[in-house]
Amino acid sequence: MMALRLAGAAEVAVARLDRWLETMRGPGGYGGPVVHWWGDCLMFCGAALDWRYEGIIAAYLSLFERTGQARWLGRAQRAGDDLVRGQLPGGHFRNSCFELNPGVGGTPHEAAADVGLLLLARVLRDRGDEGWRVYPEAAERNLTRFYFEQLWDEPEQRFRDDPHRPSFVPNKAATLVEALCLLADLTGRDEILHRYVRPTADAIIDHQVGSSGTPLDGGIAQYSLGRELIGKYFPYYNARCLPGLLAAHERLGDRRYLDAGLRAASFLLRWRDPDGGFPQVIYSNGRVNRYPRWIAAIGDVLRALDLLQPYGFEPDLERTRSWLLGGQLPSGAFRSAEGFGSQVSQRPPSGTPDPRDLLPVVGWNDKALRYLATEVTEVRDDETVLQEGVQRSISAVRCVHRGRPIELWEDDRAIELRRDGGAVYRWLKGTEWAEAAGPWAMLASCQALA
Amino acid sequence: MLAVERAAAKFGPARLEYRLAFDLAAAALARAGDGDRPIILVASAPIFVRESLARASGRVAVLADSAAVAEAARRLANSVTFLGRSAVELLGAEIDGAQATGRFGGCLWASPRPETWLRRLRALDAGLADRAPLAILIPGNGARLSAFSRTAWMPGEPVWTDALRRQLTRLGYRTGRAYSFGGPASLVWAAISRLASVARRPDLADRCEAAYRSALAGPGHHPLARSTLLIAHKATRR
Repeated sequence: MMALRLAGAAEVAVARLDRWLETMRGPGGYGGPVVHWWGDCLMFCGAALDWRYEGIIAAYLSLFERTGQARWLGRAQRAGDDLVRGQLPGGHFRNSCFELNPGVGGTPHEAAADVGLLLLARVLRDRGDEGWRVYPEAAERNLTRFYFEQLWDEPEQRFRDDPHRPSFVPNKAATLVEALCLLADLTGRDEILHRYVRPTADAIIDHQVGSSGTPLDGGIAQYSLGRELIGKYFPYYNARCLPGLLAAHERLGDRRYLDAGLRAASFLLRWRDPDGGFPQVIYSNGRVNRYPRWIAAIGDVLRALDLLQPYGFEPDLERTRSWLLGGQLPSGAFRSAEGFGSQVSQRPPSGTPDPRDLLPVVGWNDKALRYLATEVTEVRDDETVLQEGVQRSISAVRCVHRGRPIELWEDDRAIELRRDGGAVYRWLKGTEWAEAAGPWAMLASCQALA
Repeated sequence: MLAVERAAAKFGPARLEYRLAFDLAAAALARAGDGDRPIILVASAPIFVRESLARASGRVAVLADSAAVAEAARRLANSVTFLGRSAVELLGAEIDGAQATGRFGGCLWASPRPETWLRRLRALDAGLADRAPLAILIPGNGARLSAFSRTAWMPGEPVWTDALRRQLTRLGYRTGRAYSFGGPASLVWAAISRLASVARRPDLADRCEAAYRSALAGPGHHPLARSTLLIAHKATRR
């Protein structure tokens, strides 16, 4: 009964989210502002070929496979075409840096885009579509020119996160492992598995805490610089490690990778909050910075935990599903987080959200869509769903920023932040740049836009 | 469409205050610029070339204030395209007044140098089309006070040109918004963040880092800001 209820809820959620995503397309692809733990990208809102394409392509492929409706394959292929057209001569994808956009060479974003391309290629190839080859070619160009030629550290046998520093980031490497496994599948080149996937998966598990019975057991450190391990454990990014570890296990048959995934999953559940959300980061000194807690992105956590079901890992995820589904906005998008306004104080949020909590971000919503797409068997025509009492895409929500009220307003054409009836931030969908009376943090006291 | 590839990564990351400033400048130029005319970038540091070109959405003419900047622009020009062709035009050491009159649809000037700013401003004034936006990155008063603490100061970062604003007014420029970045609060948060790291409290360091980012672009114009982005518009002249 629970599964049926979720399927119904997911169907409506998917239809509404898909409709919202269509409003976020502009020349070159999906755009919009970004909020993140490390900083925001609120002014540049043009098409960004980053990890949003992994989730979008995978989600639409999943919807196609589960419903048989051709429009979903069309959406996936259109997204793949965004990547192919947006690839630069050096193999990079245009504006692939997510919260650091505009820029190229974003990690794990370019590998994530490769995952999307390779998943699409696999489906098209299996259907006998002769145009499938263009997608793995684009992915291989990126993997070769960027990852193999610039980031692979032969003496250390691992991929750096930066060509100029000996840094290693497990979750990003795990995304790369996924891409490499898919490339090996499509090309039959098993040497990719042995030369790159195995040492990378080994490096990931080198970053995992192995202290049975301790709170951090199973946690995977966020990164290392040379031999120095940085003792920060982000549940979300631990979840991002799981699909890569499982992909390595399935291709190489090495039980250690599966065990590492299972222990990382136990770490996640150990730190899950009673309401189904997850703290942002746990430190090796035992301290926790809980806020902001992700909402849309939790789709990735649910998906990762679902991947372990075939291995007998079947925790109760209902609270976390409810946490995700409860985050859908009237526009159809999912809110980004809870508690951005508490990032400094770390006091529990007072109730009225910070606008960054609600600001809808394509690169987080793709994670929600990807997970929910695996929960549906049918998606009726959008309009039918929308007529069932679901508000169309106009959304206006009261927020608080730096102690002052502000309203987040969105329709099909724009996202605005309004104070005293006037806009202080405005992004006209489809354009590259937002308009602001000042950088984000200035919004509390800035004058309205003309 | 225009893009800058990773070759630019050799410069390392730009300071957040500069990234914010360049975002706002790019937005202003995109909004008010003339799509048929190129933007002119007058750059005093290689990092400013990269940050500007990454944000450009059309043709850009680059006037380099030093040999290092010219070299950076040359290197990046090979990886920047507009409709399949290089979008970057490298200008000589000066703007050719005879050829440049009214040629540019907007300007990003990062940042005026004491020894050349007046000459550059006069040339830009001739080169800009009527009503064209002029975005200028200049230091704030706080930069004078905190200069001693900037261990990684790069050649070409903003220095003081006190008479610039007066000269803009004299030339009839309509000065619009001035965006301030940095100030005492951001300095304090940055210092506490470093202390927390030294004290092995990464949790506190991360919170202070978030506070630093927030304070970097604090409400309103701070008299002790470290950097200021000034947006002006050329007047219509007949």
